[in-house]
Amino acid sequence: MGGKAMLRRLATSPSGQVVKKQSHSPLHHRMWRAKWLYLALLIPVAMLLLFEWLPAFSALYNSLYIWNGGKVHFYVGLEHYERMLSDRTFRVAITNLVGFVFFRVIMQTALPFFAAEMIVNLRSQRWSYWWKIIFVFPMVVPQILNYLIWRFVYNRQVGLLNEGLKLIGLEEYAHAWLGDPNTVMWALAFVRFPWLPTLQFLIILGGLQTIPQEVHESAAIDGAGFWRRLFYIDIPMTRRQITLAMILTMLFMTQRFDLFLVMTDGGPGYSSMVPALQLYQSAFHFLEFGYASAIGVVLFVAMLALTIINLRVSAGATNQ
Amino acid sequence: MFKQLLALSILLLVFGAFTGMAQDEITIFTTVGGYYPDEPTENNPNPPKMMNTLVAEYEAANPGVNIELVDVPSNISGDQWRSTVFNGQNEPHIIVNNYIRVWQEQGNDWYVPLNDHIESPNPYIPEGTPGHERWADSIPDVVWNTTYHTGSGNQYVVTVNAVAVGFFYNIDMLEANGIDTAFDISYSLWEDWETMIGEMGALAEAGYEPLALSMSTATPYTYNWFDGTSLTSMYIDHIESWWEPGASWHALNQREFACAIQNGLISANDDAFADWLGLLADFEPMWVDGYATMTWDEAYRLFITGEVPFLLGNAASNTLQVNRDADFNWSVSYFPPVTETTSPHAANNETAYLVGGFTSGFTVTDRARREGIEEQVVDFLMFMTAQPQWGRVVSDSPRSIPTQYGLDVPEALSAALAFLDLPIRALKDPDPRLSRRYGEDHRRLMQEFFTDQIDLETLIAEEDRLMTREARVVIAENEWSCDFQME
Amino acid sequence: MANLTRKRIRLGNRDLPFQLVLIAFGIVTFFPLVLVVITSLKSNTQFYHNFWLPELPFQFGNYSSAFRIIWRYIVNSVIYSGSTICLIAAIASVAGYVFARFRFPFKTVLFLGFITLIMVPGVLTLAPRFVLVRDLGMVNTPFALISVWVSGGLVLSTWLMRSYFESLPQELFDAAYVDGAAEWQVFVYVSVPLARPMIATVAMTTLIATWNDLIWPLVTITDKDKMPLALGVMQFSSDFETDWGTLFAGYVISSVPLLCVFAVAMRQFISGLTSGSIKA
Repeated sequence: MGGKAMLRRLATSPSGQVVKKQSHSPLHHRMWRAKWLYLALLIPVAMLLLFEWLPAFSALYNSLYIWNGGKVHFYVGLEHYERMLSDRTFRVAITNLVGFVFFRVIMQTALPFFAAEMIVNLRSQRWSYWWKIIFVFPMVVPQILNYLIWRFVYNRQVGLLNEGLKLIGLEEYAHAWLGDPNTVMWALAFVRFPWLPTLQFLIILGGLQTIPQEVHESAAIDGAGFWRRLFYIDIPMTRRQITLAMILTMLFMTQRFDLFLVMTDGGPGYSSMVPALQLYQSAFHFLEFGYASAIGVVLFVAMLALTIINLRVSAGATNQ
Repeated sequence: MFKQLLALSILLLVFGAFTGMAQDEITIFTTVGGYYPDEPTENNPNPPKMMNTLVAEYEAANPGVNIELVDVPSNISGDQWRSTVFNGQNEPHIIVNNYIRVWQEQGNDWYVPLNDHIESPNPYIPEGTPGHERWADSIPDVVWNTTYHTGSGNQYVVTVNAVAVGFFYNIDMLEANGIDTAFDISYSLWEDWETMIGEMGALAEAGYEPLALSMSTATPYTYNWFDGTSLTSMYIDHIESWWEPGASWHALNQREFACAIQNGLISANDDAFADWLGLLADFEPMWVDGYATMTWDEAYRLFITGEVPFLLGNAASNTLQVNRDADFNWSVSYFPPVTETTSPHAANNETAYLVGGFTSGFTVTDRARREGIEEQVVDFLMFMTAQPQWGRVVSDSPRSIPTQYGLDVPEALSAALAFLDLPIRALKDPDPRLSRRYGEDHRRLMQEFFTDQIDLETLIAEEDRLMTREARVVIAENEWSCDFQME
Repeated sequence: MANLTRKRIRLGNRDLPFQLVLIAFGIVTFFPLVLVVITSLKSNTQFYHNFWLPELPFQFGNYSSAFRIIWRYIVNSVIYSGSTICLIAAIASVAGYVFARFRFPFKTVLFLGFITLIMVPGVLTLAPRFVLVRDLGMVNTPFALISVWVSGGLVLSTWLMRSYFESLPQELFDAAYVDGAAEWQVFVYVSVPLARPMIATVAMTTLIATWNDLIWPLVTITDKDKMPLALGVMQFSSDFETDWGTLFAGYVISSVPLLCVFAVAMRQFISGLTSGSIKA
């Protein structure tokens, strides 16, 4: 197999710089040399094309059709996208989502960051290890179970939150947190508080752990206190991890509909409706698969744009 | 390494393709709703089990036929499950279904019209029992009429369950507050709607939350059960002009209601409609805090623990539950008539109505046709719903009132059965009244109104827009003519 | 694990305030889990009358009821999730390695083809995917679950593996090349052993995602004997009422296998994600 030597030549260093001099041979030539690599990617690429991209493209296609999930299927062009512009529900849903995602992104980045900061600063290595395990542990609990429990937390009559308020003498603030349009989005934004999302938490923790010790040492010599160190060393040096945590949270929260479905069904009225839930309802309650697909496409484009902007901003800040 | 994986994947795919092929026997998949034979647990020692017996009997009598019961989680995933399996043509042959969903989906030819089948004899019904000569005779006409799809002229659903909704009330609690709990079958616990509001208002003054109910569609919700009753009372003088010619008192079908809107016979701008909204607005303060997002189970809990004196529930299935869980004296009543004292528009209304009706039944799906086993599937359905069999199902698990003639109704259902003597509402729940879209949006609009997000004027404007739009959509979809109302 | 042994510069003993805050965090985070266990020991009546506190007598019968019904689903789920994990670990390692270590035409496009899938709402692709799986004749077979779980899991896993392989120092590979190792030998004998923490990470995330998945098995597996655990547990809440105690006992039992895996793979899992290689 002469391919081995060729592969070796294609190998790059982690920083991306080419080990051997980059070849300027024609494209098909370079592709032929990489044939073993393509073969190695054949299974995953085929699987993704088949089970992920094909359904995704059929959704894009259906967004141009009126489709009831069965026989009714005809082309309407961009009508669904036009309808979205004047759809009151969609407008409310977007407004709700923006606030929700904004809050969750901050919460699900700040909390893990502070917890991670405290954990890496512990003198006791044993405790530091145990805290990681403790905070990662809740990930074994099924999401649906968390929602059931948080319904009980917000329950008007026996809810934990109201019982707590009663206990500290603030009984007049007790009310149906999920049944009041003024509090429902806040209640939903705080679901699972102060749980640390596993992925984001560990990624940020990893970033903090890899800050070279010398950096902190020299900062200490310069007399930098905890807060100075936080803002001038720790946050800037984990910027890429923080950015990633934010992007992931944004992506996950934008697509989340089960939370809203189980806790409030978007109510009262439309006060906790979000686009992902509207998508779900359009498809499965009203059999408007075309409109549902169009909402999905818009969500996809929005997420893609936000991700790119986020990466650009982060990269720009790092380069300065 | 990847070569082995490749080989493995191909193997998996090929193997997968072969499974599910080549059956020489007939297998009929069926859902059976609440009668699915779950396994007993500590808290639920007697789950329904009669279906297993029926299946065994049928399989013994029909060698080569297998019956597989399919359990579909009844919760939020039900809609998602249904449209996905239909889309993928992997639906069970028989599905327990709500007729409003069937109406919504029938244009896809997902369901087999049963028109001819119900005209033929049902051999499993004994001679002398209604239905033996003609299957349709085993079930009252009112049931068939309610579930019949006007647009296609087809009957898709065999409805064997009737639902009667009732007010469960805590006798101990009411008597402690000086409220007479004698329930009169000729009207209700109360003489009229105003008396009910008055007594509940007194309870509210005394610091209680009077009525537990759920208005969240995430669960079976109970708000919609009085939505149609009170609307019927408000339009009592006009409903006759909405009927198709020659009809007698019945629950309006989709076409009649949609046309009434189209022809301007009912509008959100009517005085009667405003009175109706006012009636609901006066009622709303009596409901437990948080009803808009409350689940049925949470509402139920409030009644069982004695926190709330009234519960809106299913007089059949919930009776079993309350019987088991309540440690106080209780009974079950129903909605009082809306009369002149509430609104001049209801002046000629004389009666309370049966809330509930005929909601779910068995549908035969297109899969039976595709596989060429329609006759066998219908045969099993005839077997299952024939009185000798269904009677055993119901006495094993008395959760719904059977609709068939000639069945002994279990003792536990006697209260609910009495309710069935009440006249049926002319205007049904919001969903079957017009469309699912209407039902959903109407509920959300009412929630916005109740929680002061919109005022009465906006509500009326939005309702008007919604009703007009949905009526137009439904009429266009079915290509109906609305001339019949204009004579 | 090198990071764990690193000494930190501190101004005095800061542990106590940090510990206190972390303990508060921990208690609130864990309260729901405790509540699940408490509820699993109640009858419906006890549950209705007393939400929050444990109440005697404990209904241990809930556990035997639940276990008697769901044990066979545990077996199913172990098989389904186990095969999914093995396949993902193998495929994602290869793909991640290729993306991390080589330069070839269309690499960026291909990789974007993986990563942008994170942004496609899953609820949207449910129906088309189901039609596909049906056409492949996989409905009601384990392959319906495994194939879709594997392809779905590959998205995140390939990215994680790639990041990890990229962070491995080039010298390790150079040494192997100098010894005359072929590329596949470098992969199998050098890279994979080094990537063990990240493989553990991929395995854990896959396990949790597949173990708790509800909607996909719901539409593809109608045969009761083939159902995975998440569906099996659902039967304690029915049309008419929910058997809360047994339902929660079922959830506790269903998380026991996860806990076992967690106990074994925890150290590797944490060090995989905290290696510092994962960033935007």
